[in-house]
Amino acid sequence: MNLFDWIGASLGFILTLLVFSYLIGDNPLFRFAIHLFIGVSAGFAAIIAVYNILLPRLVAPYFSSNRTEQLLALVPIILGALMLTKISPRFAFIGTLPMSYLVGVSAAAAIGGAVLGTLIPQVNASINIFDARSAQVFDASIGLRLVNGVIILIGTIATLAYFHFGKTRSGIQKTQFQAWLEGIGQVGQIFIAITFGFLFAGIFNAALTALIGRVTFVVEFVKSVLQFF
Amino acid sequence: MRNPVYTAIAIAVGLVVLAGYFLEFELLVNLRIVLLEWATILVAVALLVGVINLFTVHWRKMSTEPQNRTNSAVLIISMMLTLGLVGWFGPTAPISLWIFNHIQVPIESSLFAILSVVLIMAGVRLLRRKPNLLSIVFIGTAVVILLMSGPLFGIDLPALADLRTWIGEVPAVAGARGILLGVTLGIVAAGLRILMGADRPYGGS
Amino acid sequence: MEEIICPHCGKPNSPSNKFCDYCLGQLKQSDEQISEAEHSEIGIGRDDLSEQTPEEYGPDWLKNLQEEHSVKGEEPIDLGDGLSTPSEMISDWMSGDEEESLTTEAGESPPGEGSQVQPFLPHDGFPEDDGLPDWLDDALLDRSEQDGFEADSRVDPAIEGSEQDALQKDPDATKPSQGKLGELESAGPLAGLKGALSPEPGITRPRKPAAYTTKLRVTATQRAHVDLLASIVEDEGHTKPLPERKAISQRHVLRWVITIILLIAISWPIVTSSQQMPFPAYEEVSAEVSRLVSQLNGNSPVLFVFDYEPGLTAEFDAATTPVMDHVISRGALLTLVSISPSGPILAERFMGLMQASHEYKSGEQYVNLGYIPGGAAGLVSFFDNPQNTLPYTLDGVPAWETSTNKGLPPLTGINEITDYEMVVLLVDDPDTARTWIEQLSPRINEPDVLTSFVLITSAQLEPIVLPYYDSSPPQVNGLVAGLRGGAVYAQINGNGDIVRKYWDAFGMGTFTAALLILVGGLGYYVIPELMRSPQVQRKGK
Repeated sequence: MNLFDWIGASLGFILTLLVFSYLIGDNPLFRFAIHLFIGVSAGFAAIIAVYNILLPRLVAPYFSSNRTEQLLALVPIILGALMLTKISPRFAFIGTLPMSYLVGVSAAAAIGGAVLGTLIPQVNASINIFDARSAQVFDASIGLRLVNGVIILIGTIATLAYFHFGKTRSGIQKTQFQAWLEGIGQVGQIFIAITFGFLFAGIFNAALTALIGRVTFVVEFVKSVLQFF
Repeated sequence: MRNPVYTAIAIAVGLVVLAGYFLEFELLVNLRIVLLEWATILVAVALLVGVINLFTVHWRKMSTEPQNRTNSAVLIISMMLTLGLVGWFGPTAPISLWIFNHIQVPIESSLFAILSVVLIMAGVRLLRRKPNLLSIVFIGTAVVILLMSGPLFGIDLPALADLRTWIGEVPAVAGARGILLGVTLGIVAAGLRILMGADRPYGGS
Repeated sequence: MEEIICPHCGKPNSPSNKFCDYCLGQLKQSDEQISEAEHSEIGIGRDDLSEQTPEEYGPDWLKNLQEEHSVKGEEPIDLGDGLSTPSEMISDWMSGDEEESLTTEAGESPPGEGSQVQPFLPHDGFPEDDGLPDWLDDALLDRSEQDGFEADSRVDPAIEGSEQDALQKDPDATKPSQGKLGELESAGPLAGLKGALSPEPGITRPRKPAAYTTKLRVTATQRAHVDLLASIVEDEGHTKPLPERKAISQRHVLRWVITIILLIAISWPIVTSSQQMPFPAYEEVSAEVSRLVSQLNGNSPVLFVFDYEPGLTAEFDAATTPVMDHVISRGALLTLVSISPSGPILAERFMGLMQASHEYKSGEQYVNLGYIPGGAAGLVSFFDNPQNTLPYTLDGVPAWETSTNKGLPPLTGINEITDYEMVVLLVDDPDTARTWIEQLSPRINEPDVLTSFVLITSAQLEPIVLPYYDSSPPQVNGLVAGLRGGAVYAQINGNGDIVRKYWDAFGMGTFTAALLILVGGLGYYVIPELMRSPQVQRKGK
């Protein structure tokens, strides 16, 4: 390890300990580390945006001889300039035009992806599991596939029923349909509990791996320091 | 400009982009490509606006809040140093990777690492109140998955391993699929409201 | 102290009053007036007053007025009570018999008089009785019968009702009482006139209207409430110090205990460099990735997407290294992109790690195109037209083939996303994963498209991505989830150095966590229940 790497490793070691000090209690050293992190990551984000997008797409066309590119680049330059007014609260209303443009595009992209990418395929998946012709991840036993398919279908419908946000009229007896929906929703809660338990374990595994990575780094750093002495 | 103009722009560009998912006309495809390119540039500008706003907020905090002055100064100095060094040498230069590897990665990894302690605390305290069926199912599932995620000292428990596989492939898939469908329906509803002009989150009111 | 009886209306007044509270008549005469009255054997009362000249007992302004008139040559008519008016203001019948004086019995108060009794008395009272109706005489006579009637100006309905009954029984009661004929009115605007009818109903007496205080009537309870509200409002302006929290609470102790136990559990295998625990058994989802990578040929274009947070570098280094190692060993050419701003730097960092075992050079075997902004919209733009979306690499080198530029080898023949043989998405966020899958899977599932789509995810994403893997046709062709997925992949393909380093500690950590949750949670619940149950039993008995 050269000097540069040594300094970097020492810095990483100190910063790791500063953040871990939160386990003892919230303290100014922890907050120092957090603000340092925010500043560095914001700086990186700004540089990437300028280097990767703004310079090549807005500035570079004017160094080429392509007139079409230059004309096309004019519109985002104007819109981008209008967007910059969002920094000032007094002139923020000027940036409404590019914001409306962005919101329209994003909404459309989200709808298209949601319908074609999740809604239709996932509804198909809930039904196709009963299709013996489609070979899937489960084992070859048809009976087991059918049982699993029924459970998945019931679970999917029950989970959707739990998230039903239909208006219930208070003071008036619930309709039979609403009572059924609530009953199915209770079953859906169990499936949601299982899913969230799985998620909880997954998040813990990811955090544990990060902890192991940090502890490994600290142990290796201490070993290298001890080796040095 | 008046409100209907903003709404009209949002609806017009939205419909062009949405139509491109279902129709294949050359003019529509070309127009869609141009509109999407411009959108990506504007998002980059919006990112820049966010960073500038972060700077101004903390600059103001330095002058108005004496108790937070030090932290805001740390943020501003680190941001300026990063902008200067990475901007001058380039994002792929060794100095940029050094800053990233020895400042950003250790801090963010450590933050994620202390989450493991917090999660165990949450799991322990969940049973403090009288447990009901749902909390028992939740904790039970989490414990089974945790036990069977790791090697378990090399002990082979095929029943538990199969149980983990079955939980991941059947009930968890059912619940996740229901959640995904619910989220998707919400996204479609919200998006359609914007494309119909019923919602104007861009501040056109 | 003895009360003073008003000479005009006969009502008792406070000794300190100068004027009557009821009729505003003067109560106290000056000493001179009193002595003159004594000398002239005139007592305090109406009749006495009627015989006194206005200037003897009236207010000064009246005296001055009379003097003025006397100076002017007018003969002011003495109306009694020290007041007089110019003669032209007095009608003839009023001024007719100036020599007579009205007398009233002392202490009388005329029946039904409600108006203020003004100290106007005609000098000679009312004209003689020359044909006054009987009822007027009765009214004058009945004045003496109204002693002590203390009717308030606010008429009590009960009293009114009782009087209504009295009137019904005695119809003559409606007739004004006839006092002495020619009884001189001693007070009020008709003072000095004889036989004046009382303008007020008989049941009321002229009284000074009750003085209503303008102060708010507040009870003690209301005052206390007002003070409380005022103190609350005042407190709002003052910042109160937060209550001191305990320096060390049960939560702190629990956190420290868990931290110490967990750190000991995972540190031991790391310190001892233990690598004994076996990797997990075969899993279909990860094996599918290995199968697809094995199908790659030399120079196959592969798109790697780095969309995870820098905080998860340990997990993704462990899970991605075996896969990337396998891909590079197949000779694939890599394109690196990201839809998060920190992704390009993560990609550079990871490729720097791979340099230890592979000599993959930027611009030759791999190209880092950088950041695609805009989320789903940016993805669609990149999928349809990658050349215009990211025309340069992260180093600022023109990436694509143009008329003036040769283009970089990894991007040769790439015009749209489906020109890649494989897309490998490294992701930790559910929304980012969903966005990629939603935008990409409809394209790769079209006929004649051979692009495969595999995910390397954090362990937390496994249940969210599995429904996409489970669909028909599959929207995701393979999945490597977390450290466990990396271990499975390394088990199949080898080269799991980082996974190997972490695996034993991971096993200890997960086992310790499960144990802590079970034991700690049960302890939290069972122990309080056990401590509580004897008390409950005692209560039951």
